[in-house]
Amino acid sequence: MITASNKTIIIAVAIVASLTFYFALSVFYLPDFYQSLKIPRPIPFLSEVKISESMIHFGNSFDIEITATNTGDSADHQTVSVAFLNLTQTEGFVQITKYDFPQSPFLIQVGDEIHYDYASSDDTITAQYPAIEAYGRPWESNATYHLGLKVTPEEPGRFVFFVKSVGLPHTDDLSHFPSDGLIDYQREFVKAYSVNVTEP
Amino acid sequence: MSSRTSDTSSGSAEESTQTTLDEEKYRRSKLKFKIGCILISLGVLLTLSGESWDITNHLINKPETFFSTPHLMLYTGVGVAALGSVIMFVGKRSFANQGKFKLPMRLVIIGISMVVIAGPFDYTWHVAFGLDGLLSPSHITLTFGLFLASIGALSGLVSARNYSPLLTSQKGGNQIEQEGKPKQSVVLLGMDNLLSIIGILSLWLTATGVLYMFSLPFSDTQSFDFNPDPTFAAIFATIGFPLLLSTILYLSYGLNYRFGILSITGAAFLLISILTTMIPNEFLVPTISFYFLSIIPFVVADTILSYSKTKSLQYVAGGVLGSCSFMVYYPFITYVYNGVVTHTTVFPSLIAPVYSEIMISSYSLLVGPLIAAGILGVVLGRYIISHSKILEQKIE
Repeated sequence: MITASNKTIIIAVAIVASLTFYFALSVFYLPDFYQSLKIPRPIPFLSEVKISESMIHFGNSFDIEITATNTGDSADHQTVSVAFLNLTQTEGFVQITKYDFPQSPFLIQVGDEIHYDYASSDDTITAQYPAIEAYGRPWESNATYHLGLKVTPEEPGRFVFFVKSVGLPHTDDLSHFPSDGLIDYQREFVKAYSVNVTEP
Repeated sequence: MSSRTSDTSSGSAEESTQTTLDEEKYRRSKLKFKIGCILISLGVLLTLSGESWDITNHLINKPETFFSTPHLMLYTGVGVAALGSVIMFVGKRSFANQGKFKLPMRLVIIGISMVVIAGPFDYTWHVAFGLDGLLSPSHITLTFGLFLASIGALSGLVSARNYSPLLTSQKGGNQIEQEGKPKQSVVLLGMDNLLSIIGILSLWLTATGVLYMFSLPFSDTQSFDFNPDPTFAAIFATIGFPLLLSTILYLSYGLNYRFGILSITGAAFLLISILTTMIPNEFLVPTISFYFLSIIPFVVADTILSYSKTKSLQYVAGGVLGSCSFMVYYPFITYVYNGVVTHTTVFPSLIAPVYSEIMISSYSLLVGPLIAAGILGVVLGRYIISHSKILEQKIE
């Protein structure tokens, strides 16, 4: 026969045991378990960067066609960025001719605050030149998108632009393309291309 | 003599028939009123669940259309709540003593009007300023409207449950407990308990929506940056979430005085959270079973409250509830504390790892304030119950 005081003791013990189990699990076991969960590993790849002309007369335009893929796991966010070192702005000089990404592109202007160092934190840096950033959110595994641009250089000379692609979450060196070479002001690897713009 | 006796018996038969008719009329009115209240609560539940699902879809960037499932849930919920308010109003008009139903009805009318106004207001805002964030004037109108409507529906349910113009005693299940003397209501039926759970849940979800608005960093848009300051958001969440959790669950107990109601209410909240915030995000699915373990502190608090009515043990129950609020409000709470602890970009696939980082680094610091706010929740819950009873008696 269970007496009232015994019942109280049993309930108290059950309560203490349940709470000990719950908090031990929540505070000690679960954090490790959650951190062991698989984090996706996107691998961005620019399979094609095609430039229509290597030399143009000032006042003319040239085309850039980019084909981008994610050969890794599905990315939460993957970008393809084309930055124009000799332009002061994109408006009037860069026109999007082809675009099949799931979201509309970002236009980055000089002076904008943007993430850097593969966006691992909330810190930002000031943009030094204009760029167009196409992106997929999410960017599924093996999905391929295309970006076409018509560019009219602002002045004669060597017209330089950088191309890169970054997969997020940024897990390792394969999460960015290219994985080596030049580093831009965002502290990210880029591939540099150029077109000679001659006086007419 | 015999004729007089016959007259008396005929008169008493008429009175009896009249009483039966009154009783029938009263029952019908009360039923209508309760159906109205419960439709409002269900509508609010549906709306808030749709909203929560919609926020998750925005986080994982699912393409959105006007007729997406979360949006349809939201619109249906508003429709159901509006229909409920009409039925509630019709039911209330038939009551002989309308005094005690005035406040719930007013709250519902104001609340539903705000919800209805919020629709075109939101459209106008979109046209003028483009995409909006979580915190915007139209969203505040919607959420506060739902909040008022859910308070009105719940207080209407409680008032209707305790009210009978044909009974000399107006005491129902909502009796103020006396310290040291556990009271189990004998008036309440299972259906009333169930209705109170739905009423409480809708209130809990709307109040949670209000807290999220002022703590989540989802309100920075092209036109406006309504994001709360990260430090303010963290302090606000540390006090607000455990206070709300504890107050609501204490009310769920205090409106019924039955073991199990608090646990069922808590379990329903966890389930809604799982369905609307975790299942849509594939990366959170492995964490569901662990998340649902938060039913343990709910059952513990339920047991403590049901087993002993001493104030100090009630505060212990509040402390237990407060301390688990950090787990109960997963996954969205991750975004609140990320602003002051981890400072990382919380992508949908990183919510669980970032949450665990915050748990490791900060839970030991948070647990004290969480417990204190949980205890305060019980104090507030006790005050609301005793105050509403006093208010009810004054109206009568």
